[in-house]
Amino acid sequence: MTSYPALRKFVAPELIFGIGAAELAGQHIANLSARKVLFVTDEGMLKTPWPQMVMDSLSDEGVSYTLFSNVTPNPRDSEVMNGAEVFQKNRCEAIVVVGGGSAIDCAKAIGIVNTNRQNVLEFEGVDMVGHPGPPLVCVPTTSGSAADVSQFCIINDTARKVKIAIVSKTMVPDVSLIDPLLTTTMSPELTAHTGLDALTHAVEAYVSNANSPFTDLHALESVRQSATHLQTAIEEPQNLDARSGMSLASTYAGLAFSNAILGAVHAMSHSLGGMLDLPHGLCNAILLDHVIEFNFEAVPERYSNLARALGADIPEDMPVKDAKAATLEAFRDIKKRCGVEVTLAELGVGEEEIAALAATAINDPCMLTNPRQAIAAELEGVYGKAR
Amino acid sequence: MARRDESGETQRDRLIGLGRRSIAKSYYPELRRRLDELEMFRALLDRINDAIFILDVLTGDIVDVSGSLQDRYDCAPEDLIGVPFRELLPPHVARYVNEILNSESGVTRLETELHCPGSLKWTPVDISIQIPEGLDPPRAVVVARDISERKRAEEELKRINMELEQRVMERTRALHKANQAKSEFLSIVSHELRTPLTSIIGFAKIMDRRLKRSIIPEVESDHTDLLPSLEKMRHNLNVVVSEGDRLTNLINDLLDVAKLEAGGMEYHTVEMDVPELLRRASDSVSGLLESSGIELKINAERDIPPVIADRDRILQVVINLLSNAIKYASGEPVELSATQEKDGIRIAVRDHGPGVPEHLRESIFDKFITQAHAAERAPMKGTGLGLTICKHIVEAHGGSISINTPEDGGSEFFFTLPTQPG
Repeated sequence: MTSYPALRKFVAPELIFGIGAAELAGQHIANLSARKVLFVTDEGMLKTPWPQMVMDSLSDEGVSYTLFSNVTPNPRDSEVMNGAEVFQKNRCEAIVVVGGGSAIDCAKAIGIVNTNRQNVLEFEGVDMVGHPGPPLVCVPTTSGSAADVSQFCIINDTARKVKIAIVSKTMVPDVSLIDPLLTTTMSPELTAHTGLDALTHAVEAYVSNANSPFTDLHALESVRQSATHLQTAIEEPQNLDARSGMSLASTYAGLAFSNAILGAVHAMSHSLGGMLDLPHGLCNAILLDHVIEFNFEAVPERYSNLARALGADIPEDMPVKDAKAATLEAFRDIKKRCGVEVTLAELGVGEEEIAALAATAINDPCMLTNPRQAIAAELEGVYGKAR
Repeated sequence: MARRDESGETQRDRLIGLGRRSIAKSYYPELRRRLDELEMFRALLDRINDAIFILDVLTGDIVDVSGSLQDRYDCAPEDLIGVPFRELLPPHVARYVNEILNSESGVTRLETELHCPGSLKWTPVDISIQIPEGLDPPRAVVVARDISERKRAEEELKRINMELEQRVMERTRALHKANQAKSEFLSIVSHELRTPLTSIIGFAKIMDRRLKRSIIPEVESDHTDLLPSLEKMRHNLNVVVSEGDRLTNLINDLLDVAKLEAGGMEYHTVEMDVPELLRRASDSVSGLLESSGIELKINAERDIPPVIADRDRILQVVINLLSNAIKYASGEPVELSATQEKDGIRIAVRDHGPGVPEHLRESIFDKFITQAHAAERAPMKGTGLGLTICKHIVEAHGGSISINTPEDGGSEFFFTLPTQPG
C-alpha cells in the first residue's frame, strides 16, 4: 500500500463564520452585482426574527427581494419549479436563502432550473448540471445538514416517491454566512437530530474510501466539536459557546463529506426518507451504530480514531474485537445522551418493507464510497437490526 | 463498483470530483459564451451600413454607438459617448428631440441630416427612434441610414422629369403652331381654290347660257353645218360645270375635316323631330334618286321622341349615308329607317349593293383609307371623306356610327343618337 495520498479534489464555498455573519448578506449580494434577489425561506422560519434581519441587511444595500416561502421539509419537485417561476417572473438575479437543509436544497435547485430551463428531476445523478445557478448566498439556521457548503441537493420526486440526489460541484453555494446565533431558535429535539446528522456526516466522510488528508482533518475535528458541544446545545439552547461549537462541527463535517462523500448510513437513510418521508437526521442517528457494526472490520483503525475523537479510550494495541465494542459503545452513548433511543419499528417501518428499502439503498451513489462493499441482503440485515 | 461508462470514468470518479465535467461553480464559461455572442453581434453591427445610437431617454445623451460611423460620417465612435444626440442634428430638428424621446408612440421616423459635432459635412439620413419597453434605465435606440444615394437618384429623376416636361411643352407648342399653320393653309387653300373655281363654273354656265339662248338660235338658220360643233361645246361646258361642282364639294369636305380635327366645328343643338329629319333627307336626295331610278323606302317607328342635336349636321350625315347607298345600290331599293332603342334613336341606311369588302369594314370611317379604297367598292365618284365627317359629327353628339353586313348582301350603315345628349 502506498503511503502518499491518492488523487483528490477539495471544493469549498466562501465562508464567513461567527456571530453577525448573517447580517453581511446584503453586502455580499451587492458585491455580486445583484439588484434583486429571490428570498427563500420556509413558513416556520418566518416566525423567527432571522429572515427579517437578513432582509434588512439587503434593504440597507439597496437590494430588493421577492419572498418565496412555499417550502416544506424534504422539498418537493413542484415547490422547486414554482420557485423558479417566481424567480423568473420577478427578474431576480441571485438567491438568498435563510433556513435549514430543506430550504437550502430547494434554493439550490431553483437556481439550476432557472439557468438551464429544465425540469429539476432531469438533473438527477452526478455532474448532470450544465450551467451553474445564479449567485447563491446561504444563511443556515441549523447545524447539521451543511447543505450550505456541500455539493449535494436532495429533492423529493413526488410522483415516484423517491428522493433524488443532484450531485455537482456547481451546486456548492457562492457564499455561506454561518451565524451560530441563528441556530439558537432550534428546539432541543431538532438540535439533537441535526447534531447527530453532522456527526454521521463526519463519520461517513472519515471512513469513506475517497477520504483525503483535507477531509480527515475536518472530519475528526467535527467529531471532537460534537462530543464537546452537542449535549450542551440541546440542554442550553441559548448557549452561544455550544451553538458555535455545533455550527463548526456541522461546517467541518460538510466540508469533509462534500468532498469525501458518504456511505451506507446515508444510502439507507435516503431510502427511508423517500419511501416513508421520515426525518433525515433521525434516520441517520438510528442507523449510525448499526452501520458501524457492519463496516467496522473494513477500516478498524479509522473507526477507532473516530471513537477516540468522541472521547473513548482505545489503545493502539487493543484487539479489533474490543476496539469495535468500545467504538460502538462510544456512539451508542452519545446517541443516548442526545435522547435518540427510538427504533425504526417504532417509527412505523414494517418488516415487510425492508427488502424494498434495501433494494433502493444498494443503488444509492453513497454506497460507492462506503468502506465495505455490500449486497442488498446484507443491508436488509442492517435494517433488521435497526428495527 | 468500478464499472466505467463510455467516457472511461466511473460513477465514483465523478462523485468525488474527478470526472471530466466536474467543475466548481464558475460563471466564466457562461460569461465567455455571452461575451462571444455580444462581440459577434457588435462586429455584425459595425459592418452594417446603418449607424446605431443608444440614448439615455432622460438626458438625450449618447451612451453607446455602433455601426458605420467612421466611414460614413467621419466620426470616431468614442468621441460621441456622452454627447447630446441633438448636437448631431440640424437646429430645426434638434429642438424636437426631447419631445420625441418623451412621446408615447413606439417608433418615430424622420428624414433629416446628420453630422458629427465640429464637422461641416452633413449627410442626408433616414432616422428611426425606438424606445423599447421595460428597460431600466430607459433607453432609446436610434438607427440612422445614409440616404445620399437615394437622394442623388431622386434629384436625377427630378431633373429628367423637368427636362421631359420642358420637351413636351416645346413639342406641344410646335404642334400647336403646325396645326394652326395647317388650318390656315387649308382655309387659304380652300378660299384660293374656291374663288377661281367659282369663276370657272360661273363663266362656264354663262357661256352655256349664251350658246343656248343667242348663238345657237342665230346659227340654226344660217349655218346649220356649225350646229354639231356648238352642241359639242355645250356638252363640254356642262362637263366643266359638273366637275367644278365636284371639286367644290371636295373642298367643302376638306374644310369640314380640317375644322373637325382642329375642334373648330360649332354645333347649334335644338330639339329635332326624327321623322321630319328623314323626310328632309329624302327630299335632298330626290334628284339623285330620280336620275338613278332607285326607290327609297322610309320606315320610321311611331312615337319616336325628339332628339337634341344640330339639325343641319345630322341631316348632313343622313344625306351622306343615303348618297353612298344610292351610289352603290345596283338598281335595288334603298331603305331608310329610324327605331327607338334602349340607349337612344337608331337611324339606319340599308342598300342591297355589292357590300363592303371585309378588309375595309374596320377602317372605312378613317379618312384617306376610304379615299384609297373607294375605287375598290365601285368606280363611282365622291370625295370619300364623307364617312370620316359623319363619324366626327355622330361622336360629337355622344352617339356612335357603325356598319353591318347582312347575310342577304348589301350593307347597313347606322348610327345612334342618345335621347339625352351626353
